[in-house]
Amino acid sequence: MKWLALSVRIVLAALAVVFLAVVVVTPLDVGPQLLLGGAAFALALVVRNRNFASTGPLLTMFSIVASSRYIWWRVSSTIDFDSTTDRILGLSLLGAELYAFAVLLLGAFQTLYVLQRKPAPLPADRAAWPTVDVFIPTYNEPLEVVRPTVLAALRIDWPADKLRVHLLDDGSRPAFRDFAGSVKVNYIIRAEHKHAKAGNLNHALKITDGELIVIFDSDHIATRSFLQLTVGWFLRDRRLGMLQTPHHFYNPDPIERNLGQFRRVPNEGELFYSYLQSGNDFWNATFFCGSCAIIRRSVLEEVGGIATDSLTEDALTSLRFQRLGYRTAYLNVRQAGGLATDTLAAHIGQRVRWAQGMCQILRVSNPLVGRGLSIGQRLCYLNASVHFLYGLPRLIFLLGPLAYLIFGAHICTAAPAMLLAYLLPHLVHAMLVDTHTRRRFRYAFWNNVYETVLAVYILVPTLIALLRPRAGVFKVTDKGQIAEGGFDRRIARPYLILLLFNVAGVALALMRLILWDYYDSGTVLLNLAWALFSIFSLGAVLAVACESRQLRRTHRLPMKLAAILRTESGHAYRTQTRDLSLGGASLQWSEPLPAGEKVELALQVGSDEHWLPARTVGSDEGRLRLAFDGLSVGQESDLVHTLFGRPDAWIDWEQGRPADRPLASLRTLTGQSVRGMRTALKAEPRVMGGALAAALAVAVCFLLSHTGWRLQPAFERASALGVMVSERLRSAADMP
Amino acid sequence: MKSIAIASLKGGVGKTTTAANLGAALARRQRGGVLLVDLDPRNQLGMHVGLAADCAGLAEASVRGVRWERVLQRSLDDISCLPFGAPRDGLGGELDAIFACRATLLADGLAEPALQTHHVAVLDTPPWPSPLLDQALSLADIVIVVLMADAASFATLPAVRSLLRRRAASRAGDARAWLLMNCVDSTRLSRDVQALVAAQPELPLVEPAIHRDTGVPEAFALQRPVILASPTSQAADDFERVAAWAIEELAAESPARPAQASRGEANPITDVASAHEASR
Repeated sequence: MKWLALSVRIVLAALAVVFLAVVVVTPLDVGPQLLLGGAAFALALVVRNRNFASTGPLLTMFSIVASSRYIWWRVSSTIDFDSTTDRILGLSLLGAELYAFAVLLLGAFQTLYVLQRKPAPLPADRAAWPTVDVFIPTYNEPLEVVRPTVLAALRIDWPADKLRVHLLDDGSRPAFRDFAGSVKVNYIIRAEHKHAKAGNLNHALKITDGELIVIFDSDHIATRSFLQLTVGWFLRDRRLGMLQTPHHFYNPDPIERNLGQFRRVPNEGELFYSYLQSGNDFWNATFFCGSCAIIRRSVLEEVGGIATDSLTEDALTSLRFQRLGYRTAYLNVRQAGGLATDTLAAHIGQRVRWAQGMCQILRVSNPLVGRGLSIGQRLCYLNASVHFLYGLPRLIFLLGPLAYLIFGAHICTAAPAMLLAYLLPHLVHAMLVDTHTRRRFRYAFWNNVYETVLAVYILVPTLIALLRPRAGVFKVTDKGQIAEGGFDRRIARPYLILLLFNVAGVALALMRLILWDYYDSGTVLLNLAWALFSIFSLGAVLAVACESRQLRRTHRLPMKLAAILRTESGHAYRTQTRDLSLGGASLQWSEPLPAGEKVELALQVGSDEHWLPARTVGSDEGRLRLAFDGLSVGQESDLVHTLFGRPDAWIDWEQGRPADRPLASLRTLTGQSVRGMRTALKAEPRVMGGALAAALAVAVCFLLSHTGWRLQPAFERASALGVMVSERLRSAADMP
Repeated sequence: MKSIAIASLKGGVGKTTTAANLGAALARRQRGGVLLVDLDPRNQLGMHVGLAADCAGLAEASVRGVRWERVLQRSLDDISCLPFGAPRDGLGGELDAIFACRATLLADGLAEPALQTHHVAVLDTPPWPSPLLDQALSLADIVIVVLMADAASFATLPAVRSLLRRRAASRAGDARAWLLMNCVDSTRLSRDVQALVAAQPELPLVEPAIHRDTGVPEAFALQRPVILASPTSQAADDFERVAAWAIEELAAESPARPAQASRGEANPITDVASAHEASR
């Protein structure tokens, strides 16, 4: 019976594939194609609104079919170019589209089934719990960033004789040594500083001996439950080499901050940590992300320590685990909080490094070849790498409309209506999948912003990494800086130039529409819309480049805790915190209290009471602001524990976030885009104005020379228009 | 009427202050239903709630054979109080004899109808040794022994234990007793003593402790309970929470004394407690 059922299934699947293949390759005229697209869309909508278990895969299937059909049509019927220019530009666009299509397919594969791994319980007998070395590597981060990380690591719930915390200071700074001594953690330095973080970790690996190694970047503050939630899997699965947990950031990254969307929109990392890694986990292809992860020492030693031949040593290390047949796992429970990069420049620098490293992996240890990997692992790692090659395709998409608008090149030989009939299903179905399966992790149109911001900067490094994989230099990501505020011209400039070209394109489109190409208004309108979208994207990037000022050194977290405030006079008041940071607190408060008074604040957590010395800073509207003043190490540890130590500290971070509504996203981003362009205009009025004028002049001259023979009909049309208008006016005057 | 005895084996730990403020907090939860009874010859309980220091009290009433309800007073904040009474001529020597001889003096006094209308009596007990202390301990449903978070208070713990053991022996039913820490603060000593007291197994601690708070002596200077004089203070919050705890404990079925539950009348304490429970 089983065999029968299975063979029926196989036959049905084969039939379905054949049928879909026929759907993909059958050419249709505009009308039938529109009908097909409309019908498929209606069906997909029904499927989405029903929302049953296989809705995601079904929508993905619709999307893949629609996109395949579009790509098939593009390749088979739209490349028939008149000139070399057309051919070069047209093939570039096609290449970019093929890249996007490939990434779409890989992404669909990667998230075919998203594994929701649960924590594995630990045995009751503590003797069976493994010994753990916690590594906190640091190089140039300020001590105030590292302190809470170390203090929190010391308070992770684990048998004291089985938990050792090591501070790996590659900067060999005396202040760090003194701090390590005062809190009794092992302070490790090395004589030479080869291979940056990887070398630092490998050095510590040699002089420690715990069964498991936990790595926290110097800003990743662990909750007390980190080990108890994660280690269980290492006891259950003896072949498990690495378990990764999410990186969570409790301060706004530059994009969130500069667009004013902190905690209102999923940030750039969330799609990866809340969704894609769980997809990887299903294929046993979770990769190591450098921090908040646990590694089995024996496996790490077997691969020769952390890899040193990629800028993303973490991913390469886990790839080597996989090649030896060890498993990796992803537990999507936020058990540590860290600092996002503070400035846009640092944000870009960090991503460029990731992109470079992942591209190096393609060369150093290409996941498609070599022993030991399953097909799923190969494709997941491949996607992780090629995903970072989006620089060039993005730029092509940003400049695409200009090929026609400025140069008059026909890069896609198809009637505009035909193009729309094929293109729309491709775009709409892709969006439908995203808004169904990824709606909680990435909002509509935001992907565009995240990628456009990086496109220019990622382009060259990724290409270099592909061509010369050993050339890269590890650059430590700066954390704990204060954004100065103001418009970052250096970063914005390339986007400004792209923007100016597109503005010129729009101006030309309007002229073409009225003067030259009115007989081909479909093509003009299509390219005009495309250019407007490019302007929208580029404006948003300019808005991101307007660094809003960041006032606090420490980041405040909203937190309601019972608290006691004792004044110098000895009065104790019952109150509640409104928010809390490592530097101070704000309290619910109504009594008059002068600024600068010395007070004591007690935070009540369960039956514990943590007393902290503080100074009043000021009060307004029922709140009193305090700055902590002269905390002892013990008090600082209590504060860190209260702020960051709770097992559920980050669990409901996204609660209260408005749901994804594509139109609302579009509206928000359009507003931001306009603001960005306005700021850029203000910041660089001469550059903007001059460049705009120059671009327009060049474009007009170019057009005049290029399409001079068409001017005649244009003038005729204009004069005919004038005659018509004057006749209308005359007849209107005659009427009464 | 149920009763709570507030005791201590060391002076100056805030026994009377605790009795007055806890009584006031209980009274707010059951308006008019709480009776403060001052059994301490220092006669200070009334002052905490705004009564004159030189009034007649239960001592004089006992000597003269007058009913206690005749000396019952009400404070401005509407709290019932039986003061001990100021020292008067001609009372001196007879008191000791009366308290020592009449073993049911307290029980009889509180049984008077006008006093029985209250739901809870809070007994401020005299320093040890005293026959009135013994009577109060054996009568009370709950005993709260007040301690400060210091070494001297901690040193009295063995004596407290033996006192409470004798009380348990003298009672038919259960003998529930708790320790209440007073004037706890952020100092190392205070926290250490709290931890030590919490670690000893025999006597449970009332949660929460009362925090050190200048609001408390200031309230005494104003002759009002701290929950009214300084409602936003931490001490006020502590007393409120101890009162809530006490109401629950009084309402808790005590297995050794099933008779209480079968009296059949509506028990306001239970009602308040269950309402409190339900509101969670």
